[in-house]
Amino acid sequence: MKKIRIAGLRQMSNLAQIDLLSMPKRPGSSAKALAPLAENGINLDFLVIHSPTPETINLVLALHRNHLASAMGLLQAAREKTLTQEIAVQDQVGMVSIFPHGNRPAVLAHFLSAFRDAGSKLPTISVSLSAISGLIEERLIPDALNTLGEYFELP
Amino acid sequence: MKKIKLHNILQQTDQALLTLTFEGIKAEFLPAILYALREEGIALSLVAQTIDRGEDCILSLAIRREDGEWVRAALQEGLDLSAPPAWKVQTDVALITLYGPHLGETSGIANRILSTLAADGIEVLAFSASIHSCFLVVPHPSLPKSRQALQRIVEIPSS
Repeated sequence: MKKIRIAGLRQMSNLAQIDLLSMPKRPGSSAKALAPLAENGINLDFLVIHSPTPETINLVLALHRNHLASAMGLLQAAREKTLTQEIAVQDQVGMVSIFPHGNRPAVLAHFLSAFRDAGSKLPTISVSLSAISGLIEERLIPDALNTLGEYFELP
Repeated sequence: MKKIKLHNILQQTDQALLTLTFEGIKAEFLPAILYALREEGIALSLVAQTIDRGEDCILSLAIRREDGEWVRAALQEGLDLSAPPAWKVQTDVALITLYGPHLGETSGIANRILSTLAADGIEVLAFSASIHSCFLVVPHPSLPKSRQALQRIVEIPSS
């Protein structure tokens, strides 16, 4: 297997993941859910919003673990307004990001393979202009960094 | 309120948004399918993958509209998906990219973007935020209105 050269790799620990599931899909639903966090200065290190069904949206966010309790309080308080069906929490996660030079489908395939080899469940993933980021159980980060080294050539 | 400083706003039209829901265990086939997309020269404009409580995987891909059917067929076959609602394709969507700097280090940016668009009645079909950029998928007819709305809250030094 040919290694793909990447520009860099970044890891973050001490994160918590919150999934807001099955919110009604209408303009403003996600803004309503995020507003209390923004108003209280809680920053998000990761955010994905998409729509598994025509009627609903899911929000998956990651934030610093120190903010988890306050974020959960705010999100639960807003739950009636946002009509979120379910809120799920994983409190021991981290994020691993790689910075590739294009070639995105193959990079993503390598990234998923490396996470799988590290024994990770299917990761939550977001791809942006410069990075591919995956949320992973924190205890698996060292293994994921090792297996990423088998798929990618670091600078 | 101060405007959000950006390097740039980019847009891609002629996009399709493909959303698939499949058993997480089938995800082991994803790398092989992605390698096939690479071989076909297919670009992925946006990728967002989440896992629901039942361990199902929800995967959203923004791709060129002309590649939509090929990608859908490859994923449908590779992941053994029967028919909707396991997958859906929304054609005629546009991708807006808001690019840095340091977007991820300031709280409230996603909320400002989403609430501004919501105030103008714009539906955001998918959203993904990372360290330096935010990706938004909106219906293509909403693109001009979305750009106008975003101009109210962002500042691009060179513009």
